[in-house]
Amino acid sequence: MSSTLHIAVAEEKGSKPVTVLHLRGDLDASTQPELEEKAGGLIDGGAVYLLIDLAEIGYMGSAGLRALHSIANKLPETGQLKLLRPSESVGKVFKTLGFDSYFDIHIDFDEAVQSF
Amino acid sequence: MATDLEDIEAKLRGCGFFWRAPEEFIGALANVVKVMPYPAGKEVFCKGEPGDAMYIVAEGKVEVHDGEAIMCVLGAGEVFGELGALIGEARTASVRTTTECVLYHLCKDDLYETLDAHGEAYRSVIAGMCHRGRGMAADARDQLIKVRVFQHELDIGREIQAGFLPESLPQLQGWNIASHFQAAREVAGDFYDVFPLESTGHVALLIGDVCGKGVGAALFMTLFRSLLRANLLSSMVKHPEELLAQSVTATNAYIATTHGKSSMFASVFAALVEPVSGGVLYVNGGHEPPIVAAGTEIRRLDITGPALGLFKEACYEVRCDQLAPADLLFTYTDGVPEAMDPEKNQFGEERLLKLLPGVPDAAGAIAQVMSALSDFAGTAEQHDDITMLALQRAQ
Repeated sequence: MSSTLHIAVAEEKGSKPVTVLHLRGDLDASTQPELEEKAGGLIDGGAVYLLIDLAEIGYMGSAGLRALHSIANKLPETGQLKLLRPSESVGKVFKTLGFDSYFDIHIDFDEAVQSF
Repeated sequence: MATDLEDIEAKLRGCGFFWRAPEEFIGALANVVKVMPYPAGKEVFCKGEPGDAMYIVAEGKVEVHDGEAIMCVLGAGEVFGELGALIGEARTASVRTTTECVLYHLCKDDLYETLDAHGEAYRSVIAGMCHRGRGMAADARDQLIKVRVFQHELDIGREIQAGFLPESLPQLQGWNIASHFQAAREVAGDFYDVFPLESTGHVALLIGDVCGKGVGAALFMTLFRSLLRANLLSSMVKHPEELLAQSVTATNAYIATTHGKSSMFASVFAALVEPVSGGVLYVNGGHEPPIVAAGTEIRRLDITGPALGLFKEACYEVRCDQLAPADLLFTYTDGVPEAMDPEKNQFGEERLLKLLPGVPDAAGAIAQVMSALSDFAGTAEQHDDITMLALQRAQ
């Protein structure tokens, strides 16, 4: 069975306008295109500061990491992608692959929004 | 109203399924079909549902699918679900609209009542079914030919890819080396390599796992493995620690820069083993930490940098380890701990760690793990490549 991913988008006002993508479900090879497409559309529409909320991601495989990297690549030079609240298992994927120090990962929502 | 009926009649007449049907039968059918407009992207019916009607596409396009693969696309003048209407069989596939559509719904009872009233029309429906059966057989034949061509291409790919793995392992005085490689699909994303470095007198050991599966992962596997091997063999650097750091850093930077848009990465463990002293220099780029079994003690060679291919500025620290006589270095890809049993439980690291102390040699370690994996997995099909590379310093 293919997995499902729900993406809710919200705009937050920190010191800069931050586009937040709240994800719910699994981030794997079958849902990766969905996230990339959604984020790509937001970037094309002018979003520069992206915060991806991973709190409700149950499973994330290597395809999810590819999606995050690809989204970061699509951002303009001045843009930034930050991540919020990975679960223990998702955090372990970042750590195992040694990617934890290459993504800006936050635990607190307000702090994350203000950090841009 | 008359115009609508004429329109329906004209569309039914243009329908291949009713191509030899008498005029009166078509006229009668036009009175009983239900005209149903559909938006794009709507499921008309799903596989396994009871079938009690057939549909004629009057306008638009629908696709026949099985939940994943699309089997065919049907347009105006074509019919689907006819087995449901004729013999009440459960739906053998799902159908959804791909554009806005107008479908004519013809239920089983209406079809048979109209056929009973126009007995001669039975012949035309039989002819229509035969015609359709012949068309489907031709389609199936075409598909089979395509699958065979594709399979042949994959076989060639697999043969070429096998050339990117060592044909045999080098014989090394005072050491024994063994490997196991099992691809989950025709082509794999895992790789390993063992080769002597004449420039420093070390033996290079590589194991890696490219993210994803199938042809994409396989193409990148050949790239990662070749760059690592070429960098290690062709570098002018004679200092082993520097050579290892530079080879891994250069491989990572090249892929992250040249192929950054693909967002493909590989976890890689690369080591240089000094055969006389048993000294091991290693870089672990986001790979499952290899296990050193020293008697009953276990230690792991943890990550020293990120998986390769994404971050061009990444740094890779070189660390040292020391293998004493009888010590075993066991490296593997995540296909081992993530192997699944029929209930989808994972084999897990704990089981692996318990297996290694006390194994007689490298080949014995791999045989032991293979046997435990096979007992654990039973009949379950494995979805990931399984690779192991082990090396033991002789007593």
